[in-house]
Amino acid sequence: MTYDVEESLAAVLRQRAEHDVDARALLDGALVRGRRRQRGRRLAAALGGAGVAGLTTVALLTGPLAIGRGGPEVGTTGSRATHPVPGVTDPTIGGAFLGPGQVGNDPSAVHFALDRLFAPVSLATWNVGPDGIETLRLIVALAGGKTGTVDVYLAAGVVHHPLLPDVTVMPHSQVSVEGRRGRLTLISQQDDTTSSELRWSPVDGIEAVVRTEGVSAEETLAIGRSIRFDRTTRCVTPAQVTVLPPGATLTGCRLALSNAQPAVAPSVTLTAGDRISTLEVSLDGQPIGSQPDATPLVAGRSEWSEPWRALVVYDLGGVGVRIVVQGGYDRAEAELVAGGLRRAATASADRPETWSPALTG
Amino acid sequence: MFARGPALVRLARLLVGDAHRAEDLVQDVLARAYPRWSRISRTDQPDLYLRRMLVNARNSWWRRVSNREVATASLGDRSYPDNGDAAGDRDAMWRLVVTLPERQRAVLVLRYYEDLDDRAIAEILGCSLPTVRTHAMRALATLRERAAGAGLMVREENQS
Repeated sequence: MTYDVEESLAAVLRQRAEHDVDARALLDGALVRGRRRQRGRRLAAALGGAGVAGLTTVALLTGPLAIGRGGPEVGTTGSRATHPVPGVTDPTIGGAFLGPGQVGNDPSAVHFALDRLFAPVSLATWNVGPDGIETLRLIVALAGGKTGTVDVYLAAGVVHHPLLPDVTVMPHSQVSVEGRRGRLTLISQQDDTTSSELRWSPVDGIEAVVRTEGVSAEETLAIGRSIRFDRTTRCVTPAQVTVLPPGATLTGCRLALSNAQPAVAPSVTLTAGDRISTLEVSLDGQPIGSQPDATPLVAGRSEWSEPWRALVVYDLGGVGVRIVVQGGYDRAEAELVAGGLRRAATASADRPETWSPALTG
Repeated sequence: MFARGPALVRLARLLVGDAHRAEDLVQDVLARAYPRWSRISRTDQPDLYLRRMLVNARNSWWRRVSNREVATASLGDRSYPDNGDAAGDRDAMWRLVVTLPERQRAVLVLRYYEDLDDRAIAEILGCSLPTVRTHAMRALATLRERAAGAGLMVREENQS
């Protein structure tokens, strides 16, 4: 007898999935959680109001933070780039043009901005990693229900990233990007797999890369030309980290924002650690549902999961928190960091433009 | 909206591999979707949207633990019924499926259980069409290799 993997998969999956479901229990459980979530939001709103009235607040920037949202802007018919890219821009500090030495050195700042794109953006993830590379990943809704990706990388020296294949041996075009020489490589060109890479140095000592999938090479070049290196995009948090394990420093920040409708809650992940150990603190703009198999630490509020080495704080004033540890860190370090999280009372959980650009306090 | 719950639970069972955790995940998704259902239902494909919520909810908890999942025991160390035993083969195949990386597993579940096309899968997973195909190709290649290693007789793709 022979065994065909594809043929057998459907039968295997059906067998595993199709047992009875207690619809009544499912409905009851969902309703209970829905009501709990509504109460949590009201409580968070009340706490926010109290913060304005005089409770401890986390200092925000003196200049206003702003976030791109919504649909196509009316009255921009001269450009195809009409769809906003969500990102928390900071008008008080410049980008790579003004501070090339800062690129990759500050987890709270991505030293470029991209305001608009030719297609709707479903998800934008701004990231500064421990590797010193600043990145922006966009998931883009294309015509005909297709999905594309746009990745922007910025680093001092040369961008070396494991997700970027070496295309130096491929034919390319010399192009001009705002007066600087660049190379545009068409990596593949088929209906669904068109991908290309634009690589150039927007300022001496700094390299930028735009890598796209499902997007034409011409559009890739247009995206590169529309990136603003005179502005900074912030990585912000609804709660500051005030305590870290001895010897640990904050090394990275990743902010995910969505323009999708209905709205998807914003989230941020802060990375900290030393040469051996790391921990990730993820804060979601909404509370987290409980996990039945985790060991409760504090009744109804937080849990430690040993298999996943993760501490979950369900509801920190309307924000959900997960702290995942690696290396030599363990539950004690997770609890230490969780205990020092300081919620910004004036920060609205679902409005990242009100979050703190000071990641630690 | 709640009428869709049982179907979501069945999908969740395959994504998380645990019946209780699956129901918990779906309850959470329904609770989140309920206040916005009037808007969700006006979208072109509310079912697709709910599935995307489910996958995202699953990933939000497990996204950083996938690399630390405890590998299942080597299939070669286990005894299985003869190849003629279909139930034994299905159990063995399921154990292989759960060892796949989460994105690859999600692609296979959406393709072979939900019977969705790659475009819909890309929409649900928030990735590009080529990425979906790459995940599917790698997942199937891995399953074929491991199935052969586990003693299951694998028929090559080009065999009829």
